[in-house]
Amino acid sequence: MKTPAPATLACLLVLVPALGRAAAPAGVPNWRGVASQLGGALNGNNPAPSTPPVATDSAKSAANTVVSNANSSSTQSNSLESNTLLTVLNKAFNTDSDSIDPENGTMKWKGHSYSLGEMRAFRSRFEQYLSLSPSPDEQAYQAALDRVTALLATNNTGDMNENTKQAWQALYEAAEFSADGGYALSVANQVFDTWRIRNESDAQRVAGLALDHVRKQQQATLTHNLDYAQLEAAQQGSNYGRDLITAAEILAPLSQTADSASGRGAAGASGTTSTGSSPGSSGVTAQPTNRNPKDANFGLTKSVGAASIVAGMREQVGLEAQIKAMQAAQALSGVQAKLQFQGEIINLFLQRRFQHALIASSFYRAIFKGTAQELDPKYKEAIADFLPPSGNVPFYISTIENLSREAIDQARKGMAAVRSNYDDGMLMAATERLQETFFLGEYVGEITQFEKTRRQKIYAFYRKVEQARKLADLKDYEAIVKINTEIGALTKDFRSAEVTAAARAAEQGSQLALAGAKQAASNGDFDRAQTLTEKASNLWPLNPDIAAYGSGVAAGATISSQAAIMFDDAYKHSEYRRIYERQGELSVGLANDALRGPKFKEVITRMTKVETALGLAQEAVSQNNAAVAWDTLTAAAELVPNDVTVNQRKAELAPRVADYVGLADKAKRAEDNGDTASSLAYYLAVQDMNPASPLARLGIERVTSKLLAQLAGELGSATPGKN
Amino acid sequence: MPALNPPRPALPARALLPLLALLPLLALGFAANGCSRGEPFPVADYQKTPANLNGNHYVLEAEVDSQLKAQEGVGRFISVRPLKEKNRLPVFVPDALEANLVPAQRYRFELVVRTGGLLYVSQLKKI
Repeated sequence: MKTPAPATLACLLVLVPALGRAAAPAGVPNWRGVASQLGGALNGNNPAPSTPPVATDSAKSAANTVVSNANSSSTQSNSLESNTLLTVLNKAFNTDSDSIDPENGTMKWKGHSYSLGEMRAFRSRFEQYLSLSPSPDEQAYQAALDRVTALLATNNTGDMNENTKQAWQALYEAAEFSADGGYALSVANQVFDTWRIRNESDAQRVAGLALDHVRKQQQATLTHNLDYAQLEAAQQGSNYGRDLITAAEILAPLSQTADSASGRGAAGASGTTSTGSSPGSSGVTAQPTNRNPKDANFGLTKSVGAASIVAGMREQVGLEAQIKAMQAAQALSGVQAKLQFQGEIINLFLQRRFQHALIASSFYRAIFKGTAQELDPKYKEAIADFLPPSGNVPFYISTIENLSREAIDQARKGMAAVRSNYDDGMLMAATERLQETFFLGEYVGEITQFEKTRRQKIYAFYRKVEQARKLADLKDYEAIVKINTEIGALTKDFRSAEVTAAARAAEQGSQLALAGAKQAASNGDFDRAQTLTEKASNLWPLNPDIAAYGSGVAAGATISSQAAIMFDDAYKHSEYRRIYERQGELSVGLANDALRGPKFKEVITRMTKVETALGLAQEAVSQNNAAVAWDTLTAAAELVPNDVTVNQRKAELAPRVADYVGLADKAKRAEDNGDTASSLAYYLAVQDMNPASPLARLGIERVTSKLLAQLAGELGSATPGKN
Repeated sequence: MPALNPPRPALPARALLPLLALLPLLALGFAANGCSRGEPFPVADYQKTPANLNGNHYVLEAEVDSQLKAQEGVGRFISVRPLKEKNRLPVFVPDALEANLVPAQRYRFELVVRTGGLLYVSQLKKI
């Protein structure tokens, strides 16, 4: 980008203060860049329509700047003026607001940038919104959502579970509307999934209780058997009594083994670090501290059934592991359900489905207990941009609810501003407000149900502004002025005067540059002519005079080339009369020819003298003064020795001036031979025949000078002291 | 009756003798100045071939027409119209002659035809 010229910046600074905004640098070639920097110039602090002097003065400044720049030297950047004008025009035609960044396709709200995808597609959606009438189902759809919201409201006095169920069913009804886009169904499915997970969890809990009951029964049986076996051994006085262990000693490590098994299972299911076992224990391979339970049968007697005791012990281990794994799975299902639901809410909020985010949040509150309302830390980053820095303060579901309500409220206020501007006849401001409100709350009811008539009028205005903006890019100033008038008739807050002045200034600047180009071309300064022509074209590419000038230049080039060829040929052969007879076309063709131009002028001057001489000779002949005619023709023949006309006239006249010509010839030859005295006598004789003879006069002058010089030399040589 | 005017006494012959003795000297002197030739200038011949008369001395009676060119200390060229002739002739009058020439006055020019046909005036006399 080129450095802005001070004059250009000054022009821009003159224009912008009225808007109370900082000026964007001139030389910005793209309106989108201008829009991003000056986009807010037409916001709520637009100059009031009742302040035309500001716009008029600014327009004059713009015009003066352009004119002065057009007159400036060609060394100055030639694109600044046009960029300044583009800036003015694009700023006037810019309907984007501060919150919208067309360059990046984003919209900012509360510090967060919403990605709108491709801006062109989003604009298309906005135009589609303006062009369409509100759907008759919109009200019914909105009513369905309101009903869901009301059923889930915490101030609803009905049965909470029943209300939640009805709200869930109402979601399916709302999902049937095309305006919903299936988001209500998505929420309903999320609720359903959560309930299913909860049911599965309940089933697991029941199954766990049953298993625990069986385990306890088997543990009691095993305890009894072991105690009985110990008692029997004691009664028999066995030596083995010292080695026997009690039931409590055997069952204690069994419990540890089950814990290890269940803990490992839970860790495998959750994918997280293992839980439920200490680092010292190693799952099923963990052994009692002093004794291996598998070796217990060595201390048992055959009467109490050692095999059955061992089997019972192993079954105890299996049951314990099943129970622990079931408990872990139950806890995991609860966490997963919570995370899924929170993710769904975040997605709805980020997609600007604020009402759905509110409904989903209400479902969440109804389904999950109070201690589960905190947002998972991994979702905190997604909404942190919307809030001031809060450090480690946790976010809750209610945080999203608040943000959603604020967005909806802002959309409603925005639509109120749109209506207010519209009613005041300020369509420019209304369009800006509607655009930014639409980008934020596209799915909010107040926006979707905006009246058809107002939409149509704003749409008509929007289309014309878009058209004007494209024309500004094309620099079609005539069309801009025309459409500018139409726009000015539609709204009160459009700066028509400024736009018209800028367009006229551009046209004037182009015309001035073109005039300079023509002047430079006529002076033969073709480089400067080309520079100025480019400048004129940059300022106003569609300038009709440039096209005409271009055609003239092309024709001129043809004429010039042809004229040059003809002139060179005639000049080479001294056919000056041919040049003289075609002087009309040659004067045009060679007008800018620095090489041939002077020669052409010299030939024309010479031939003019010849023609004059021919006329005088003719007159002299008519007065029976042949000698005068001859002298005249002779003088002309010296100018154009090969001229057929002169030589023909001389030939015609020669018989009548034979004596005269004879004397003149003698005089000339004697002079040429150095017989200066004889030559002088002949010239005098010639002059007697034609007293006005220039030939004789000049000859006498020359010859007498030579003779006097000779005589002076002789005198000096004869009397050296005299000199 | 007596005569009113008595006759003058006749000049004695002896008194005329010195005058008669000077006549040959005067004749010789005149001849030495060229005037003795007195040949009129052949205008037609000169105009035909001026160089053919180189070295000749002539007498030309002519009327001063105009001054063609002059150079102080050298002389001047004048055009003269010979009496009874239509065409003019150019003659050179050196300053040494200290002549006062006036157009339309007639003079007898004693002249010499010099190289190239230059008519150089050696003497002139108003007639």
